[in-house]
Order: sequence, then C-alpha cells, then structure tokens
Amino acid sequence: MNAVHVDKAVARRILAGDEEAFRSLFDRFFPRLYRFAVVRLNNDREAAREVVQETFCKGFERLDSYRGQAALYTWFCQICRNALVDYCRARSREIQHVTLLEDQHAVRSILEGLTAPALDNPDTGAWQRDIRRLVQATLDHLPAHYGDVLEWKYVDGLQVNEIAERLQLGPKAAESLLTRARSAFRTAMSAMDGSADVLTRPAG
Amino acid sequence: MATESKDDDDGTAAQAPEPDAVGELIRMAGRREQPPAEDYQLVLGAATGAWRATVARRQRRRLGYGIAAAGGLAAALVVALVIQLSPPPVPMQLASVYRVLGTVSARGPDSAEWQVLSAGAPALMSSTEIRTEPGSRIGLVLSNGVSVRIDESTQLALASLSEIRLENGAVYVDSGADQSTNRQVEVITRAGSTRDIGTQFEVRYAENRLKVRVREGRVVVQRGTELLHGSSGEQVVVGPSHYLVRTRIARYDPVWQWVEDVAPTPELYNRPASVLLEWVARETGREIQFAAPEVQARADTAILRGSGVRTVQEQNLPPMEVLEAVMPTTDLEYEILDSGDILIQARGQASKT
Repeated sequence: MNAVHVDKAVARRILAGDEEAFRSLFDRFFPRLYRFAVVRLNNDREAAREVVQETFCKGFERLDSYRGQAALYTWFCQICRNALVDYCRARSREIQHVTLLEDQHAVRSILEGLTAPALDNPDTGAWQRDIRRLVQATLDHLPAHYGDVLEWKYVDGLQVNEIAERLQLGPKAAESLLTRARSAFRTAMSAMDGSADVLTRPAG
Repeated sequence: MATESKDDDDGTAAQAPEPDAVGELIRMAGRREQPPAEDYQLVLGAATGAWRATVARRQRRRLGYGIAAAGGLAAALVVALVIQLSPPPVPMQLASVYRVLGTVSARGPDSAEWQVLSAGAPALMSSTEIRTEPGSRIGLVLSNGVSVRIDESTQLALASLSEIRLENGAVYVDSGADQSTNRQVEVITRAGSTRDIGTQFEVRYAENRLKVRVREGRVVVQRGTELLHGSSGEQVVVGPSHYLVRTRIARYDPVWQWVEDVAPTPELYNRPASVLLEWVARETGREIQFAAPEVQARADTAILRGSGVRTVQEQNLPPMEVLEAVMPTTDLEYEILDSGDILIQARGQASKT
C-alpha cells in the first residue's frame, strides 16, 4: 500500500471517529506544521500557534474533501499556507517574503558539498544555516516516522535497539525502517535540482 | 546496507566510522525545534473540537437525521456507528454571482491567492472560499436555485450545495418556497450548525458567538449534541459560555436591509404585476394586502412593460425601489401601512384604512 493509500485510509478512520487515528495524526503533524509556520512568521511563536490552530481546525473541517492527490501532510501544509496569508492580511502584516530554500523549486544535490573538507570561510555560516533549515524541512516532509528515526539515530545517537524500543518494534523491523528512512531522505535531497548557484558552497 | 549490525547487538563496541553523507547532513542540521507544551495543549483542544464536530455532522447526515416536530427539542440523538464512508466529493460547479457591492474576493480549494469577484464571474466550484471587505456584499445563486447572500466582513466556504462553512461574519440563505430536501442548506460554524426547513434565515458568527435570525420557516441549530429550534420571526443567540437568548424580530426589521440590497431581481418584463408583488413580499418580509378582490385579480393580469421596467432590472435596485419605480407603469398603486404591510389598490382610489 503506497503512502497516499495509507493517508486516505488514515483520513477515513479519522472521519469515522477513530480517536486514536486523530491523535496519532495530530501528534505527528503538530510539531512539523508549527515549524513550518514559525519560520514564516519571523519566529513569532504566538502567531505560529494561532496559524497552526486555524490550520488544524480547517483541515479537520474539510477532511472529507481530501482526495489523495498529495500526501496528507502536504495537504495540511497548503491549508497552513492559506492560513498564513489570512493571518498576515488580517493584521496588516507584511507577509514574510523570505525566499526559503525549502520553498524553492529546485535545489541541486548538496551531499557532495558536505563530504568536502572542513571550511574556514566565514561565508559558510549563512550557507550552513540555510542548509540546516532545508535538511530539517526535508525531515518534516518525510512520511510516517522517517524524520524522527533519522534524528534519533544521527542527532541523538540512539542505537537501533533503542529506536526499536521507542517504536515498539523488533530490532529487524527498526533496522528496516531506518534503511527506508535513509533512502527516502537521500531520494528527497537528490531529487532537488536547479538553483545550484544559490546553494553553492562558499569558496574556501 | 550500512555496517550497523554490530551496533544493533549490544551497542557497546566501538565501530569504524562509516562514510555516511546522510548522517553527516542530519547531524549538521541538528535537532528540530519542538513547540512549547502549552501550545500543544491549546491547539489540541481546538483541533479536537473541530474534529468531533465534523464526525458528528457526517454521522448525522449518514443516518438521515430526522428533524423533530415543532414544539419541542429532539430526544436523545445520534449514536456513533461504524458506517461505510462515501468517497471524497468531486469538485462541481456550485454557484453563480449575480450581484457584487464593493470588494469581494474568492479563493479556490487548491489556491493560496485571492481573486476579486464581479457579477457574472465564472461559476464558483465547491470548496471555494469567499471573503467580503467592510461595506461589501455579494449575492449568489446556487445551481439548485437557493439564494445565498453574504454580508460585509465575512469569510466562508461553499463546501457543497447543502453545506456552507462560516468562518466569521454573516450569511443569509433563502431556499425558496420549495421545501424539497435537495434545497436544504446547513450553515456550519465552530459554535454550532444551523439547518433550514424551507426558510429564509441568517447566520451570524463572530468571536464564538452564534446568532441565528429566522425570517420565514424554521431552522434547527445544533450545538454539540443539543438541538435548538428557531421559528419565523425569532432570533436565537448562542454565546461562548453557551448562554442562550431568544427574542422576537419582525420580518421587515431594519436588520434585514442588507439582505434586500443584494436581492436577485427576477425577470419582470412582460410578466404580471403579481410576480413583482410576490417578489417584493418575499424579499422585504412585508405582507401584501389587496383593497378588494378585483384589485388582486387586476394584479394577476396587469402586464409589466415599458422601457422603465427594463431599466429597473438592469440597475439591480432593492425591492422597495423597484416597487416604487415599476408600479406607476400600471393602473395600481401602493401604500405602506402602519403595520408595515403593503396595501395595493386601484390607482386613484383613496385608502380605506
């Protein structure tokens, strides 16, 4: 069953009144949508909370219109974008016209750049900040628990058996999940192509 | 596969570092920020309310919810059942715009951009959002003939022929004299939903306060599992702390004026004067009285003609202004009585009231 089929099944369960499905989706999407909103609201956390609240309310009110044309998280992100526009407009607030890398249509593969020797050029600070945000946005957009397991593994340094325990999986299943997550991340990053000059590592 | 198997077993042995660009990238990015716990609780509460309202609405619709007879609240309500869910709705042409006053915008379900609307704009699709600026209003006709009018400073979504989601502001629905079920409309807000039973009614929602005014017919207001009935001439207010206020409101009270400003003008040219009078009565809430039976018969046969009639239609005037402009083209005249009703008499005949 592909990801869209899974998402449609989840939507059906939620619409049927399955509270476990509702809470699972909320817990998975809330931090990701929050991060999606806060970076676009100049780190205004109170505003981000309002926008995300509006996003969830509208999303659940309209969930029966979800047709599976995109991943469910992507569908909620679109609602969040609309909520951001409405929020800023209602407060005569300038919409943050920051061109976020993760919003750019094309990004050339950056994996090679990160395996290069350490860089001393001070310009790399801004570059790394941009890359950091792009990586985190990519993790947020991965399906299921992929983003979480990658973070547990590479940021928290958890062993596979510890990841298995967190997810209540067997070690082999956790290993398999981690492999799929790595593959999905690599595919997502390498699928971005285009504005290589924007992401070109500063010379140094 | 990466050489991690030794780590899996006991996690203690030091391993040779693996060339792992993915891992390096993620490590460099660092931990993603987590939202504050209090924000989580606040948003969860609101989302739960929206979810439960959606589930309740679907269950009610699926079970063919029956409206209780007049005179009392319904008994125990819908019990949650596991039901076969219908496939997602297919986008369809839903409504046409016949009148725009001021600035009104619309946004399609898959678009983030608002587009300004004008009369005669392409048909609006289901799930279209509409937004009116202060001082602006819009009149729509749904594809099943139901009249929908949107007041100033309002934002709503036309979910389907039978469902309007009101975010804030006010919407007026006239489902016409035909009480067939395919013209019933439900207006949904976060404070409750209102469904008509062959009516003219207004739903106004702001800051979690719901106000429902019924001009004709009856409505059912659902608030959680509670049902409230509204009848012709009533105004029901449901406040944020669930207080309820029920008052009387005349069918031609000034609060209805905005509705008349965006009333659709029917085809009048070459039609009997009675068509004009019926339209004026329905749109203004005033009753039409005839001075004598023969005057009523005359209204049925007096045909509206002349350039003045065409001009009036083109100008999209409110009902009373249309009445004032068109009646002189006939041998009938009218008078507004103290009661607010309209008396029709033969031209030149003094009022007997």
